[in-house]
Amino acid sequence: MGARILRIELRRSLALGAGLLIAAVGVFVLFASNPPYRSWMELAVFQRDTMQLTWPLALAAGAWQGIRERRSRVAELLATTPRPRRRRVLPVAAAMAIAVLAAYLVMLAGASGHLWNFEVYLSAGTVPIIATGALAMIAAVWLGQALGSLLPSPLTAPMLVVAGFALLAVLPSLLLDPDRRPGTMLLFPQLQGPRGGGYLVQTFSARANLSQALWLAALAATGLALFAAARPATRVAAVLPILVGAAIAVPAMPRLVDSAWVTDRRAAEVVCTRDDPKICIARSYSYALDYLRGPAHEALATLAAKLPRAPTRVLVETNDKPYQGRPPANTLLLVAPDPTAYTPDDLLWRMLDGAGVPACPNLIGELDKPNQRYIAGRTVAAAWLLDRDPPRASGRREESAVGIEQQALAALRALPAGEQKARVNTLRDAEMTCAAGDRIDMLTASDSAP
Amino acid sequence: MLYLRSRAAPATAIAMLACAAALWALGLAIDNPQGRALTALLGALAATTAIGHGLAGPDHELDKTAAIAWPPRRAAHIILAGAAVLAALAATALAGEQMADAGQLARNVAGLTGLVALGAVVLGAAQAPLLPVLWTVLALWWAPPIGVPPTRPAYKVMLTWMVQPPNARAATVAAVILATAGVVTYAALGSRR
Repeated sequence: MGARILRIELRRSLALGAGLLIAAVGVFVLFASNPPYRSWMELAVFQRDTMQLTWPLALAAGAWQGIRERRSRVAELLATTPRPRRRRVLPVAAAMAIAVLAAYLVMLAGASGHLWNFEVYLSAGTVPIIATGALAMIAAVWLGQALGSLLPSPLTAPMLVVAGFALLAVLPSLLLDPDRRPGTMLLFPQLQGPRGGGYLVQTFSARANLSQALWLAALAATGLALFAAARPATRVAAVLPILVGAAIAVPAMPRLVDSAWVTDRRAAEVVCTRDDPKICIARSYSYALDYLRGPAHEALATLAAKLPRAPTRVLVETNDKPYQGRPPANTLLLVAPDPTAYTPDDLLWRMLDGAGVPACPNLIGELDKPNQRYIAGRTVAAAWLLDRDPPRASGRREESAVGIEQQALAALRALPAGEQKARVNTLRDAEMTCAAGDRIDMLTASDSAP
Repeated sequence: MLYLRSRAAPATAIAMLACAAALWALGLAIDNPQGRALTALLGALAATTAIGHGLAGPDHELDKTAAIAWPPRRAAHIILAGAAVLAALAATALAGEQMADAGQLARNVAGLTGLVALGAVVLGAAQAPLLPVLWTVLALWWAPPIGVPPTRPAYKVMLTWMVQPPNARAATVAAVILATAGVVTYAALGSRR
């Protein structure tokens, strides 16, 4: 009996239309307002942030459903039936909850098309973020149904959208300092990521998630109880869960929202791909793997073809801090805080710079006064490996440096083939140990011993 | 008088006044200019959505039998309602400090009223607010302090007309088109049954 009514309510009530509308609006916003997401966590948090919009919509959908009997002018007729109100409204409450839950998941699935690719990092911390969001949607729709049945006016639903949006989106951003959001912001369904966008390496603490989920569950319980209550006394009792929930959840919330974002240790672990080319990168940067494959394959193949003892894997260093020590001989180290910020061609040049060895901190000079001949020598080695001319002057590459490079490359190419290889190999060995010595002379001087 | 009662004018008027009062109260709390303009927009949105409900009478068949020329009456209804919203919101500027540029407020009220009228024609009076509410809430995503509204190309300015600064011409054009289209179609066709 119950299942049959539920099926009818799902088909005949507002549930389907509201679910579709919320999912469509959500997918549109998630696609339109952000660049592609670099991890599932980033997507899940932005979906929660979008609740500033979807939550008031769910609230209004609930309210619109809640005044259905009044609108159809059957409220009095139904009140005369012996079937208790709670038995009568539970199926429709369940139908609306199923609809918004499905809308939330459809929204996530639809917006997953806006991920970098499906290799992006999926951390365990993403699941509670999504689950809490789904719970918030159910709380919204039940609260809306309760408000709709308490204030059965056609103005209730549109006013709830506007008021909800003002309350969730506009007022907090106007009244609160974004750098010091108090923990009680977790009473709101939306969730903003850490300041500075550390989504890739951070996760939301279990305690903050739990306190928020508890509060939302209390909100949902109050909404459902208010909606199902037929007498004033039961309505008063229905407010009880929200009070209990607040009493437990508020003290458990962090002092500042930002302090609840904690480091995700698994995210920083370096993992290697199994297939060719072998690339090692921090787990949270796996979105860039797809992008790195082409240049990495070409760099490794070029080195293997032209030099002995070529490296067999690429290690991508994404930390901002300088790397410690020299990489082992079988590893090509690429220092790139955001690998996808470079074009594939730039990545190839960077990988082969200095014959595939990172620059030595003791030789490269200061940032404002770089050692030009050292840098030029490294570029010449890359150009020789690629059998191409050095890139044109632009930005920090000055005309004079490009001139040195072109001369040196011409001189190097004028040598016999075996000698060319030996010279580049000498440069690579010197780079490996950061030995002193002019790199251009190593490549071109007629008297330098290999 | 009967016409006004049948069109739920008292409830609409009360809702409009409540919106104006809420706007005035918020004006006391918010002091940055962007926030004030945003709140003024939300106030205008809430007040115009209140019009929607009154755009149809309780009995469509009964209205059809009346020997009244409906189009002028409907046009007068929607124009007066929009003017009332504008007056109520402008009155808050007299009572306290001004919330938003008067031209911007007039543009938004006109455009939103047109949208409500269009909503009534397309969706029916009860569902009419869906159109302006959805459009505004989506456009607000690109308004400060959440985002920054686009300044070009023109079609993006027109799509986000309600969050544009007062001197954006394309936004004004969009609002005027919506207002005219709303008034004309509502006067000609009336609310959907």
